[in-house]
Amino acid sequence: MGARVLIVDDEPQIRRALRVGLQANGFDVEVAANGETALDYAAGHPPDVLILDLGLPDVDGVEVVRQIREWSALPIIILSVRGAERDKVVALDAGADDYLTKPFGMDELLARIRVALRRTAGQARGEPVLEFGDLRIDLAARLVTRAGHEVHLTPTEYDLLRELATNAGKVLTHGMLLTRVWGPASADATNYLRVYVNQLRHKIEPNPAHPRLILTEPGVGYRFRADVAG
Amino acid sequence: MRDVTALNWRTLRPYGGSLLLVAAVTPALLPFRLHLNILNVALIYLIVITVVSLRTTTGPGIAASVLAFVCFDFFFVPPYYTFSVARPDHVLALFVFLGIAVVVTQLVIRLRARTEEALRRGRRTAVLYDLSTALIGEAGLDQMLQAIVDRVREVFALETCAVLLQEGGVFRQRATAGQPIDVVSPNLAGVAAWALDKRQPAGLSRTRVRIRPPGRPGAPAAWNFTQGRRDRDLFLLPVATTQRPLGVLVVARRPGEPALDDEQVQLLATFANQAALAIERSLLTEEQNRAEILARSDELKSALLSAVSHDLRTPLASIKASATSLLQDGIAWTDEDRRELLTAIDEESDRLNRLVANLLDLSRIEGGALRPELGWYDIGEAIDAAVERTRAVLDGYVLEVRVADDLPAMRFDFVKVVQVLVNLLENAARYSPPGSHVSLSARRRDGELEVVVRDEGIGVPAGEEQRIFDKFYRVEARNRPPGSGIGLAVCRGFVEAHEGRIWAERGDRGGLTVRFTLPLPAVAETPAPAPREAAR
Repeated sequence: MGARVLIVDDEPQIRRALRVGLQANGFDVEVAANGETALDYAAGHPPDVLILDLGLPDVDGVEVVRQIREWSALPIIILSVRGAERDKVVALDAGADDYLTKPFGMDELLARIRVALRRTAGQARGEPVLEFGDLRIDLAARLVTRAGHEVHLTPTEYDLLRELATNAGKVLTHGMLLTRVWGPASADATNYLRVYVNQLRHKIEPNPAHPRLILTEPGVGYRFRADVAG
Repeated sequence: MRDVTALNWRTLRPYGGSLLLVAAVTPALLPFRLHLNILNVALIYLIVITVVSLRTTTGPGIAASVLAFVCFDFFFVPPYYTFSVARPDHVLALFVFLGIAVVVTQLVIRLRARTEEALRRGRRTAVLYDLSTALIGEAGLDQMLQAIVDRVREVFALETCAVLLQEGGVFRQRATAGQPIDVVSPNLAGVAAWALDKRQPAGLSRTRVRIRPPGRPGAPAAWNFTQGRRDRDLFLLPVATTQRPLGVLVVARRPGEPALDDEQVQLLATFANQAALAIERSLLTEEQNRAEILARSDELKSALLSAVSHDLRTPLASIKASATSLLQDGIAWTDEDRRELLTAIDEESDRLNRLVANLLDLSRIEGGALRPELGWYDIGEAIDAAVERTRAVLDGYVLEVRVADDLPAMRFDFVKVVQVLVNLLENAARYSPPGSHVSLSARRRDGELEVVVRDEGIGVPAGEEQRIFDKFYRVEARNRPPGSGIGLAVCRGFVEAHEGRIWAERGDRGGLTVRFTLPLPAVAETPAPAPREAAR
């Protein structure tokens, strides 16, 4: 693959383990021990994926996310021992794509990296049609079909689905979805979101009680599953 | 019987004194009988009666008046040496004299009683003021109660004064002035319970309660007391607030001392009330403290949880990432890569182990179960061992070790001192940038061994140099690597267990300097002779 991964963590041991583990999986790995180095490096040689620890000795990881988001949309996966939902939301709202709580397995990290890479690839192509298994979303025609049959969605449902599907694989916080679909005034109305997600699941999920497409990230938001088996 | 006689003698004595004085004046006046006007004689007698009244009570005063009247009539009103009176105006004069004498006596006595009452009040106020001043100065309940019993014993000139508090249905002696009272005695406990239950004073005969050193063993099982009898040897006053009974104030008179009078009992009751207030205040404070301690221990618990979860998860993350990498299928690991991952697992396991050891040590220090296992060692050996154990942590730092060569062998717990050094070195590495200098030195200073660990890291804010040794204390600052607040607390516990001291100083150019001392052996002591060790 040869995708470039930048690992930013102040713990030498985790840097070492991730470097060796990712290199063995074919990634081109660079490491940085603090936020300043990471920002310099990312500006000089933008990586394909940034893996970032929140607890850094010089700047807070969330600040690194904000600064990078000023000029780049590169995928950022957060690693942290802070497991609280509030910390996740802050990092995701700042623009991070995904979040892994330490300790985590290498497979999990690899899966998240692949999703992040695929998402950027899709965005780069700017395809007007998204397909997830038998679900097909034609962004140009605002048409959603499931196994060839049209799914009738209200405008809000469609906007919500489009927002989730175009960011497939990425965790979207409640605040992000509400702001983008309903507008900034509704950023706190999480119950709207719950109702619409529920309606949407009934229309597009094979089994709404066990969603396979719109996944709940407890206390944080929702994620549209990118790797649905076609 | 002897008691009754003594009581009568005490009652009769003022009569004797008063009558004697009046009687003594009479022969003194006799030689001047012919030169003195009868009115002058009457005036002199009135002066004597006034003087007598100043020193006595109503009974003796009136008796003195009557005696003066009789003497006046018998010796000075003609015809002399008879009770008959020659002139009718003398009869009038005689009875006017008697009337004036009685009135003067009454007035003087009443006036004096008022003066004495005022004085008594003044004294009582002074005593109470004194007591409350003393109570304000005392911090703990035991000190306050001690102040009360000391003062009661002093003011009433008692043999013993004690406060017994009822705790779980049993009376315990919380404060005693004078000889301790045998509170085990069922008699005393019974009377105390009665007094407290009825909120009334009670008296108890001394023969039924032993005062240590024990007198006769085997006091009778039944007790004998009368409500409020102050002539008993022991007098018990309830100590209680309106809400709850607390205990009793017990006073024992010195043998032969008069029983307490009303006023004294009242004053004693005031003291008992003061004691009740002091106890209640302290109980309330105690309850409040307990609530605060609970709240603080909750805070500590959550601090511990967050610290421990961070400190445990960080090495676990490396171990898990390395192990899951190695477990991945279809990857041909180079020997070097496999070795790196395994080394990460190995070193991070050690780190976890150190953390767990520190946690255990901390709980031992907390539980007071820490006992250094002393032996004769060189501090240089301990320093070598610590440096060896922190080799991985200090990789990338410039470590300078200086051990003075005049250091004798000394007695310490090798494992614990190494742990202190490891914690200090780890701390230095954690809070300073890679490539910076960390120095460790040991030398003799003021008859002690002083070990100094200095770094060039971020240091601590001014004023927090001592607090960093508190359990779970962490310097709260942005961009500061999180720590558990355990390592330095363990250092302090271990150093203090060796009767040493540990403290921190801010470096001139940033960084932190931690110093600790360990006692050096006295010159006479020689290291490790086998017989000496065996003798212990």
